Amino acid sequence: MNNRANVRLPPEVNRALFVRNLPFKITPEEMYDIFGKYGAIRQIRVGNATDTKGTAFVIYEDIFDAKTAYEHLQGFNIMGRYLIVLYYQ
Amino acid sequence: MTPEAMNAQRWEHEIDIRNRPLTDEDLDAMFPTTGYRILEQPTTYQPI
Repeated sequence: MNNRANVRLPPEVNRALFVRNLPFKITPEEMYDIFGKYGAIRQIRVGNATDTKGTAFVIYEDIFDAKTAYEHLQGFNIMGRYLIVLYYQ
Repeated sequence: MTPEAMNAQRWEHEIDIRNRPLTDEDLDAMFPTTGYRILEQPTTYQPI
């Protein structure tokens, strides 16, 4: 585990990740498999409207897990699509 | 109390504030209400 005491996080880092370019038919199990590898997930919200399809909010319990997920999942390839991961402000 | 320890304590405190547990109301307030549905946790999922 990285030493948390003196690690300073930039202000934009937070636990809510906004994910774009998701395949439309991705299942909840796949979502939890992919994002759950990096830490306990507080909640996932998946877009189901025409303008929000293919996007999702993934909220982690811990801010450091979210940061690790952000760094590792940038450009992650699922079913031929490359994920776009942003911190949600 | 060395300056580094003081800094570390201040950052630790700041992290604790940013890491405080989020209630469901917090979550609903943070995110757009329309156009998204909340996934229920699959039974196979065990948080690490």
